[in-house]
Amino acid sequence: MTHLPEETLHEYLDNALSPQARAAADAHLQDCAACQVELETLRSLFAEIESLPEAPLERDLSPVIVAALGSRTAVPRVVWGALVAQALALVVLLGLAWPLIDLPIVTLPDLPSASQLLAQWTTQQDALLRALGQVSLPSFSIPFSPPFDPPVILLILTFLGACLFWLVGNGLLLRPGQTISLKRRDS
Amino acid sequence: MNESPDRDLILRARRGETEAFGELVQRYQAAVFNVCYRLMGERREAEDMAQEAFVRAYERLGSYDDERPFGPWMRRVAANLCVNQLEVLPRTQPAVLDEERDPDDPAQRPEALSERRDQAERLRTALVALPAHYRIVIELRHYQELSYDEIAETLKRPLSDVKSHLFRARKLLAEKLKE
Repeated sequence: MTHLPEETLHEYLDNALSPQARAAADAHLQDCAACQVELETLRSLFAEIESLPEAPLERDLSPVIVAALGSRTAVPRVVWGALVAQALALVVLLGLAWPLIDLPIVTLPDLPSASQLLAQWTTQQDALLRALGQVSLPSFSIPFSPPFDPPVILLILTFLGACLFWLVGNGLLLRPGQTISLKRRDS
Repeated sequence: MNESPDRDLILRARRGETEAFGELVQRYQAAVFNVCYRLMGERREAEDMAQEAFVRAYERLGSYDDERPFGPWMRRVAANLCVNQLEVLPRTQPAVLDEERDPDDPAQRPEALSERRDQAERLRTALVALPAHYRIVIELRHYQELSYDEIAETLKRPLSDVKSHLFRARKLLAEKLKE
């Protein structure tokens, strides 16, 4: 007589056999004492494993966990929305400011050196103010003409909007929380 | 005083009420601790893992299906966490129960230990001595009552691996219990 495979006995007790396979196993077990013994041994092992009592928990874990949650709360969707809005506002601002950033290189005219000024000052001690008056600071202008001229009110509103998003987003992200490590409590 | 159902506490916890989650912790901490204790084998480590499991669960409350019971889900979160920990920190020596660790404690000396060691203690010792991948399938099948398919899904392992690990684990456990 061919005995039931060990795997089949495990699956039998785990209720993992198909109805047909279970019926076949039942039929075999009725006539096979050796397989019955095997099955009962395995059943006893299952019972022993599952008889393990719960170990008592010696302290309440909830205060530490609740305290830790304050610093590890998931970021709400509204914060992510504010962050996305901030990023969009930044892109808009950059778009508006791009013509200002893309300036031709400005070259400054030559200025008198400090030693020349000092020489003038020391040689013309009697008329310091006049000597200073002789130093004429050069004037220069940036050759720039913006490609378009947005209304000032639009720039102000955009700036205020970006500030608002920034404050809301960071205000939520940086609200005070407790920083408590869950690891290793040596007390 | 009537206790709030788990579902109410979960909804409140989702709104950011950490105290509501604290109530859930009080309800399930013993069960979660026992999952970790059976898997990690050390009481202190099991407490740490249980705490971490609850924090992970809180962070994942958004994806939790509140039509299903919270306890089994919570215990599975804890089991997964322990599995990951055991994989990251493979033990060269089998874990040893805390109760056997202090040779200076008279109650922990071999003669006293052997006197008070009952069937449960023998079983716990044998369980902890199993390789981690055997311990986890025993935990999920016998203590969390998952089917083979559910274990495979939880561990992200092929069904054939789950079965062979489970059958070998039982065989090894039976041998250890006979020693």
